[in-house]
Amino acid sequence: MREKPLADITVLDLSQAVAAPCAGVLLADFGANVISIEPPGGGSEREYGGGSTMPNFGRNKRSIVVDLKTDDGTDVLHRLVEDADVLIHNNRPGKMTDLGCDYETLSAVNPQLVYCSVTGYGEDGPYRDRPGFDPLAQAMSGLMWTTGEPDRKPSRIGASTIDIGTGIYAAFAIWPALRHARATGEGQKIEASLFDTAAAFMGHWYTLYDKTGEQPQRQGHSWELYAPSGVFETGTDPIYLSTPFQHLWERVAEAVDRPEWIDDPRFETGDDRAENRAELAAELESEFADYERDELLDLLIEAGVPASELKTVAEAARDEHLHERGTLQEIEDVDGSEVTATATPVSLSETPGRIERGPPSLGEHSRDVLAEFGFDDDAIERLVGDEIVHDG
Amino acid sequence: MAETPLTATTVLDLSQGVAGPTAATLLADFGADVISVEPPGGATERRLAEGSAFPNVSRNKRSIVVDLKSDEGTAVLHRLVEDADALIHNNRPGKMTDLGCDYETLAEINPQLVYCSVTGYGEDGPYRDRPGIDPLAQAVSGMMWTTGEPDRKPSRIGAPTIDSGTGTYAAFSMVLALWHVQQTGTGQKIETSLIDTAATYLGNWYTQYSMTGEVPQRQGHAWDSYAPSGAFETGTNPIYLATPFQGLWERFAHAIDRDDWIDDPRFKTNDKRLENREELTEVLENEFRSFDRQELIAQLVAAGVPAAELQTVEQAAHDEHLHERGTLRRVDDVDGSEVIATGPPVKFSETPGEVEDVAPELGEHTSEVLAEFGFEKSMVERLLDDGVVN
Repeated sequence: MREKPLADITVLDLSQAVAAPCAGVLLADFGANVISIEPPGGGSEREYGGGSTMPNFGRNKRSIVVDLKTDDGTDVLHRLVEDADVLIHNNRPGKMTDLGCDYETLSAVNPQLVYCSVTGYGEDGPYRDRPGFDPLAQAMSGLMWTTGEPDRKPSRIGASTIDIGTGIYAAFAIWPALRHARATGEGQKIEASLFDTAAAFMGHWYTLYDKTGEQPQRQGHSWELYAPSGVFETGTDPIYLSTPFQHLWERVAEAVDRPEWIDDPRFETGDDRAENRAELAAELESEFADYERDELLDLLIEAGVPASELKTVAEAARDEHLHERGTLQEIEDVDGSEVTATATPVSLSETPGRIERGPPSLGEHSRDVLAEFGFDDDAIERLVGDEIVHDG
Repeated sequence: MAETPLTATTVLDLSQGVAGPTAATLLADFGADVISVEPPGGATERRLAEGSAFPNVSRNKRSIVVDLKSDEGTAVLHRLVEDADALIHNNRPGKMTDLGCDYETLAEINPQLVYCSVTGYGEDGPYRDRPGIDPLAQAVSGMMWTTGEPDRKPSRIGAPTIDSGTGTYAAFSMVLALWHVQQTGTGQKIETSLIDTAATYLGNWYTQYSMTGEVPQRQGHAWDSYAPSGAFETGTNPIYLATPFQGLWERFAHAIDRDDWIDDPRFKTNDKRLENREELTEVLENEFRSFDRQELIAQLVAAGVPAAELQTVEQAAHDEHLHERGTLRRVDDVDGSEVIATGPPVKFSETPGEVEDVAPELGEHTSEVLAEFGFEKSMVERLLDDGVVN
């Protein structure tokens, strides 16, 4: 057996799309035996974003196809649940009951099962029956309200931060529940939801509003509280710069050899700079125009100023730091082509996450997995023949 | 003590800011004994954003103050490490070595220690020595580039999604490593970083770029690939709406009793709707103006259309759903006032996360904790007198 913390954990991953598959992949990275149970035709993440999702959330999983809309398919799942430790799904409340796969039914099959649902709004509360997905959680939580240009409609965040954040919360939560199941023999039901995650991201805003009664507004690229902060053009590509403290501003001025800015009455204090923000930005960008981006950043970072490149996705996808750390890797996609994808985002010295295999093709492991769970050859042939289970 | 999964786990939380404290608070939610080891004057999150971060990332922790810049303070920490299971910090690479608290030193004291660092860029790679904060990780990862209005500079995301995500990755990893210790007796070092988390958020963008060579651009509130999608005004407050499939568009038209839109040649297919996007928005907002937001949302949601209120922070802070689920709650702040703050964001049927003490006063538990770790009374008094602990 592999020397991995999760080597003896079997996870049935019924989830589709992004959030829940992200939880499954994190468990798989650390050695869990994650079996992706896909519907005939495949999970929606195979199509999603032109197929760009699978390489990021399908790694280290095996794929089997079971038609859960048939009674025989439900029986197959119940048999798998008997010998599984965890089940993850992202069906809307009620759907799992319709499929005969709700927590009560499955925990009667296996009382130690850790059962994790990932939904838009959770399984209780007034919004439980609403359709939910990442941008709606952005909208509901106030996250979208605080993002974008003040004089325009709010902006949608370009990445699936809430989906992925929810997947991480789910993966985290499965842990203590497994530990509890091992210690007490008692499984349980876990609920993660997009809306709860978005709210957790927004916590300090709610508290701030509650303390001050002030309604936070979006601020474009910069921060209202201090200047300079935000995106600045250089002679080549833009940078992001932030100076929350007076000494950081002074470091900026010195780093670009403009110490006279420090005593300039327009820029002397944080309040002065916030007041003359536009003038300050013009002055800075006029100075920065003489620099190439990387040259300017070297000076700023050397001086300890929080600054960085403002990268396009193309630039970031080739970022040497991310590749050197293994956070980005070239992996083999389902069709055999090589694509850039993310790997385990945390590094552990003794039990590192690993990429054992790229995303599986649909139903690639149907026969293997059923055999491992004790289905005999005849039963497998019958299930495949009746199209209850599809093989690759 | 209540039967919780992380009972009997002691965590020393040296971290400041948002990411590290988030990790520790998640462990505390599930029963870990989390001791926040603060510098004299207190950790930065007590002051961040007028103190509003603190009630969200300090719940269920105890606070002790130790001056780690003194040799005696370091000795106190070493003594705590002997009987601790995990330690988390967010110091820049090298700083923990200067303080005599690097992994190698502490692992010698306690080989079973799980040691987790939270940094901007990780502890190797070309950017390791850079200062790192959430918006910089947004900028470097391409996340900011894909957010905001296409004709303006990119927008900063209004909440610390990268900090929070990194804290959750750290909590996940620490529980995993603690499990490994139980099985093997071997501790280890964990590294999490803001840039690695941001990269995970962008994973599908990187893959898509590597597959197509197209550079994704920001799209404001809407989606370039289908319409209607985005923020729409109503008679009262705005909503957010998305119709990624033809079936949803038709359902949507039907829900507000405008079946005529379905056959309208300007809106018949997604391509048509994209081509006539501005006209479509105008037609929609015109119709929506005769609705009050709640009424419109109720109709759309009943029809299964992905739609939601576009809420302000004020509205979200009072959201009945979040309060009913306990994701938001009223808690006591350090000064005794009641404030709205987040609770555990995941729900457990058997071992739910609990909130006991939200925001400890600075150094509130110094004497108590030192006594638990076997410091004698006279020793504690001497340390207090010398200002090594407060």
